[in-house]
Amino acid sequence: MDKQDSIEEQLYQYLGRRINREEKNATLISAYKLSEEEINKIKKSFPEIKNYKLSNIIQTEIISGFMLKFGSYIMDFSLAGRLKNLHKLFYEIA
Amino acid sequence: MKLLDQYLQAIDKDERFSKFRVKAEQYGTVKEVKDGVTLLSGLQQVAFGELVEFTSGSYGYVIDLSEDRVGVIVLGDYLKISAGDEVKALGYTLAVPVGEALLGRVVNPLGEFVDGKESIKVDKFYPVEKIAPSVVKRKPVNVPLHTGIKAVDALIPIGRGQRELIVGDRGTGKTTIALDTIISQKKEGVICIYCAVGQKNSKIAQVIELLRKNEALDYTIVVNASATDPVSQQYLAPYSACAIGEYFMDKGKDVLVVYDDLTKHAWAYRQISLILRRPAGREAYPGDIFYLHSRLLERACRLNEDAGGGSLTALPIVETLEGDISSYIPTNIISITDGQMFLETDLFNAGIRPALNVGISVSRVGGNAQTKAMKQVAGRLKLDLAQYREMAAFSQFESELDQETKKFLNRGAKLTHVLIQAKNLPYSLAEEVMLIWAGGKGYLDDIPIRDINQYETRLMSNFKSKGKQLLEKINKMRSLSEEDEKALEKIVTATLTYFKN
Repeated sequence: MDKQDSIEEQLYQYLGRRINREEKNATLISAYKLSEEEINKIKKSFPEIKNYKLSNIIQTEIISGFMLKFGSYIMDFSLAGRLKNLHKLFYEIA
Repeated sequence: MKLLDQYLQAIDKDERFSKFRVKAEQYGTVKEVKDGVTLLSGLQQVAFGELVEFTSGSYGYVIDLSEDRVGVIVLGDYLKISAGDEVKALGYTLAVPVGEALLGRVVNPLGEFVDGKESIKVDKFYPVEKIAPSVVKRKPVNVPLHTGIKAVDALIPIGRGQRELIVGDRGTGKTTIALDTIISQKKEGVICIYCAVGQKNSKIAQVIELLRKNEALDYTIVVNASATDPVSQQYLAPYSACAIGEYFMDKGKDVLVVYDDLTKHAWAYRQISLILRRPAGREAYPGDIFYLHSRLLERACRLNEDAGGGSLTALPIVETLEGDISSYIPTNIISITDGQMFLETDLFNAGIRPALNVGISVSRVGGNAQTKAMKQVAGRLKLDLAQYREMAAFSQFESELDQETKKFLNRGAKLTHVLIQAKNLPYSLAEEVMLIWAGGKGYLDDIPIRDINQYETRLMSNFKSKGKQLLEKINKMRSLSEEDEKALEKIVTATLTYFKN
């Protein structure tokens, strides 16, 4: 089956593998721009992302808190996420 | 205000509110949205069969895993999903809520109540995909499942734990046989589950109304994935129904599951496979179409005492086109099940309803699943009908035949008429035994065919009034003793004389 994959698909897979190998990216989503001190504090509490390149993206929809994305995982510490869970909880109980 | 206070208290008690915990969840991005199927990137550690959640609130079921793509079928409305949406993995495989709370209710394959009545919180969940019980846990089938249909109980008996296929063209009475079986289970303590796959909403409403009218809804659960529901739900519905049944089976109860029908289930799976670009085989079905049904039907079994002693009987229904039972899906399922009931349009149109072709219908469990009483009378019936079938071609030359042949033809015709039954009118064991006994002994030979139905009704009412004790005795003892036969003879001949006048 591999031989029958189109050239386009093989190139796509190859580039995907290269990108994943080169650098480990982590994204920090916050409601406002975080200072160096705050970013270092977060880096300390999550030892998994020590060697990752951290980028800070601002999304005001999350209201407050932050979301940490690395690899295929996401950790949601935002207020918007918490409210959404609360909404689901209310719906289930009622 | 009181209601609001109640809610607030319940919320406070719920630990999801008091203990706030965050864990690393897997996420992915929607790359492509097709008809009910989405392709995602990311989600690198997700498992097969895991549930995912879209930002629009719909759930998805992981069905395809490749190096850089995850194929997910959407268990809900897919129109609100757009490319670029984020998807979170929920970390658990699809499981359906089970419990006694589901009895008498209509649920969708995800376990949500769809009959408009109050929603009940259920705490036990059973996985939708499960490996069937191993050989060690099983026991041979020898307890009968009473269907209330004379032709079935006498000639194609079904046992608890058996899989019996009901196959025929459209409009031949397949669903009716299944529903009559469900209605017969009123006093038998069997939990019934009716799984509707791809049916018309109007038909399902009729089914529910029929069950309610016959007081069968108290022990029945309807799992509904109608033609308007997403194809993913139609694909999962039989497995959900089986999981719900397994809960009761594990508790030692006997369960009956009707899959109506598996042809539409195969179509739903074909649609999903073709959208996922899986290689198409015969009739465009994917290569694992046999496994689709075999893993479902293997979960129907009878457990031995160590495993609880429960059983799950499956009645899959398959619709054929133009009576062709040698097409792909019917032959697949015939080889999986322990027998089939073949319904023919010709017989149906000729007035023989249930339109069972007893010549090619078979139950591979057979006599092991019959009560002693029924075994005593059914042997004669089978023989007479077989002889009748052999000579049926000669029935057109009736005036030129010898007495012997004429007798056989007469007997066969009368017996075929005795097996005709009105729909939604299941018989008790004693009534069936009595009728077939009367036919076998030749008491019906002298009654003209058009009067047989009348005679039957009169005999039934006589039986219920004068022979009530005998009726209860046969129902309880499940066998026919000599004195029982003498008592039967009395009532039958009494009705005959009354009838002849």
